[in-house]
Amino acid sequence: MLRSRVRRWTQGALGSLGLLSSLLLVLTSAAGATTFQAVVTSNGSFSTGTVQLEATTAGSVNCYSTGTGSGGSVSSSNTQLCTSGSPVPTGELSNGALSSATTTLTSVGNLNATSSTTASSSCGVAELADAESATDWTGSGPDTALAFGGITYQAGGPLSGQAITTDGSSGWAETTTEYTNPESFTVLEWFKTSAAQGAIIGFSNSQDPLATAPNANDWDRLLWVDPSGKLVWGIYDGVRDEITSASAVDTGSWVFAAVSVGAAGTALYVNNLPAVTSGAVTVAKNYSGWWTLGYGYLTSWADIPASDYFSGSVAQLAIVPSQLSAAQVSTIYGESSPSGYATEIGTFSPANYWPLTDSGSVAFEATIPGGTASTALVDASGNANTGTAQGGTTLGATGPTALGNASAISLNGTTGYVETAKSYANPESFSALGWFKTSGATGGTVLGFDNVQATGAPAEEDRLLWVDNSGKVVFGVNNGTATEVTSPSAYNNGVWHMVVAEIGSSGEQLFVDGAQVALNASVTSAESYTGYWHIGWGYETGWSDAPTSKYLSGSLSEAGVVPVQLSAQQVFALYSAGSTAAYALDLGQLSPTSYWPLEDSASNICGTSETTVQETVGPTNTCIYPPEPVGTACPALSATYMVTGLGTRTSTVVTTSGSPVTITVKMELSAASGNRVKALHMLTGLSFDTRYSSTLWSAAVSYPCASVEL
Amino acid sequence: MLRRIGGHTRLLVASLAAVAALAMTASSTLGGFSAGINNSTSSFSSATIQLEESNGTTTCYSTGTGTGGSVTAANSNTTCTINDLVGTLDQLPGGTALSTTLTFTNAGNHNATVASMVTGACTQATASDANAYVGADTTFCNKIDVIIANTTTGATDKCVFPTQAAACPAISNTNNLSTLASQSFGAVPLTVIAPAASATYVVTAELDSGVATNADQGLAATVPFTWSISQ
Repeated sequence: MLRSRVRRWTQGALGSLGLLSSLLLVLTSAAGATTFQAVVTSNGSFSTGTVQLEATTAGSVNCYSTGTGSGGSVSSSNTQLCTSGSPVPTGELSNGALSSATTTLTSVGNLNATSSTTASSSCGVAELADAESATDWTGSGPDTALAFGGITYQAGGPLSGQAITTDGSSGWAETTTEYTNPESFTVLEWFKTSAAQGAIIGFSNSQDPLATAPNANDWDRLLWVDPSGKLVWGIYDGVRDEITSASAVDTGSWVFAAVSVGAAGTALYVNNLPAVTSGAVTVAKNYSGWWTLGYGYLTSWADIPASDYFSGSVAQLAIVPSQLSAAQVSTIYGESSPSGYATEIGTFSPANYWPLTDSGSVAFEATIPGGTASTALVDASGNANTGTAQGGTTLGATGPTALGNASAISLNGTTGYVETAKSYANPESFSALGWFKTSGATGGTVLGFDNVQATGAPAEEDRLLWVDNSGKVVFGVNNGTATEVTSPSAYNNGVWHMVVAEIGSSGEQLFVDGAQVALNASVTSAESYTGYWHIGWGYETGWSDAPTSKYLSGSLSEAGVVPVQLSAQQVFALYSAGSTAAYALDLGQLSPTSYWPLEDSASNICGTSETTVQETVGPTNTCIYPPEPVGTACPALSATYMVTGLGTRTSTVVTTSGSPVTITVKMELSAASGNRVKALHMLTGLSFDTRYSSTLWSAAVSYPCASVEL
Repeated sequence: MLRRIGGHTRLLVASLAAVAALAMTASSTLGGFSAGINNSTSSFSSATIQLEESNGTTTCYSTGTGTGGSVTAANSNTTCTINDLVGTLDQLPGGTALSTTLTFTNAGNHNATVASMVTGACTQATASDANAYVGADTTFCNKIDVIIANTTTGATDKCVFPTQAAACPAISNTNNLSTLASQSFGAVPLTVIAPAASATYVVTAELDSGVATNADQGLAATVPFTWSISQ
């Protein structure tokens, strides 16, 4: 009887969620001390909602903050980098004719957000990367080629790889380095065409042969497809020497070709066919010039096609600074994979090797050859506190790895810093922030503030954020007494760190890498005066832990000033943003007085295009760049509103369920743009988000470097 | 032993026969009075201890549905649908902390001398309306702040979780579903309940605004609560 009760009660207990209490009852009964008991088991549950965003660009191309539209695992960043679709015009811009693109933003979570933001970033121009760093013929190392016009990226290529395609009418590329008289070399490549036109590679002494014809017959080293579809290799040395393939190559199939000039004369190889050679010319004409890809200036040569533009695909283009033998060429032709090809090419130490597998979204940020170097560092807050690079400041350096493909400025530690445009009267209760990377034992300033715009001994200086000689981070303010808070640890270890310095009612605080490292709660104000922010320089003379060098030697990125003391949560959210796009959106929500991404390109390519951004909900149009009152549409494009000034804009409406927001970006090429930028592929990033309660939950889609043809 | 019993039986039968004969003689020849008591309603009854839980809209009983029922040995209701935490879906970080008031009544006729609340393990799953957007956080239970107040008049402890005599502290991440899970609470800080009397508890929960991230979207955390009273 007792065993039966025990078994029955045990089964009952195990079958219930009130496991422990029932088990106690059983044990009591088994011991003979029966008690009456009443039990109710109820589940307590707690469920959260979702904030998600869908962006639809031209052609109904969708991008979601999470997954592909049917849910997915929500990460802490909840940001999607969109690899297709473009929120900016994709066609060729021109002056006086607007191009526009629309993006429809839809809330696809089950919660309504409370705010939305649009943020842009300036990237540079699309590059075709050179995998080699050789300096033959006075080259400067890896020689990025710049893409122009009708080039598309990552088409199907030979060897089961990728290629670029050129449209036969406007697409071509040019090296950014000028070479001095390339001699005794071999050019190798794979190509595919069905059109009997255009040059695969050329060389001329005009950096812009479309606008200015080369002079003095300084255009040769040309490989083109003649009107009969045959391949022609032309070298000029007093006479124009052309050798032509035995058969046509415009077959629509991949063809391997190698051409050379040197002591053995000229040679032309097509696949594994016997070489066509000529001993008439062993050297090319002596001049300096630029290589062109997909285009060649063919005027005056014999047997030339109707168009100088190649129409088709090109891949695995290499220039070897020696004249390869037929056997060596055959070996390279025999490689069956891109990696094998690259390895084999590498044994000949090529001067250049463009695999042409580029995505078209990687930026060349240096000065455009023939253009003017830019020193402008945009204030993305929209408050026009623009920075100007001084002295040894280099734009386009590599930025914080924690923010993805960020870029930065690098400073030489002796003359490089950034001057800012606007003065501020007694900033109180603020947070100054930035990312820095430095090493060495002489310290340097991250952000400084004093009453003089340039460097020099100011009458007042405080709000100084610097790295001391031991590598510790110091924040100093002077409210009658100079007070410094110092991090316990050193950060001069050559890796990126984020620092936030704050003053206000919460005290004088310092955060490094998202965590508070120093606090003096008794200091709540700074010195009262009007001054300017400096990036990478500050006047620490007289401060107790002053660095040996006021100039920072290292790199800086993503600096800014927010007119409130950020909470630890907000600081951590910024530190954890994961990408520059998310960082810009997060910071934009905090209404900074200044935000210098320091990602500007020396090319200032985005300063060549005018733009406006308008959001539309239902019948209401509101311009957010330039900012206008709700219901006021954007003004006509003008040089006042360049792409560089777009920055981070808080929307006037929130993307909520059932109320999609349409973002319309209009652009045109500025009349003031120089000829050198025409047809370049300008890259500009654009991101959208919707979020709940400022920085807590957000959903974002980011087009990191969308391409616009100028 | 059996034989001894048989001897006594025979003696008893003989005696009873003699008495019967005497009675028959008397009744037929003599009149008399007699008195007797027949305790035909003698019985032994047990008490009842029954527990009723209510959140104001739903009521559960340890037995039956409120009008009595067959009391099993376990006297346990494991199918109660009351949500002891927050029944409203789509909670957000930084949102208003929501409270649920739970009233427990001794629906039996006997004083309870013991009360207990036992919490099970906290488990997380996809929220029922998440549309397949599931947060990647695997520590979701840590992100839900919770306190449980004992609001019964005269309660010794005003706060069940965290247990303290004073009123509960402000809700914070110090006390969350993970730290509440798999705990036992007894007569104090709970309140034992007399027949027809009630004890009330207020459970307050929120998604912590300091530690919750986007990875906590579209999730549901569940903790079983087993409430009991006994003699």
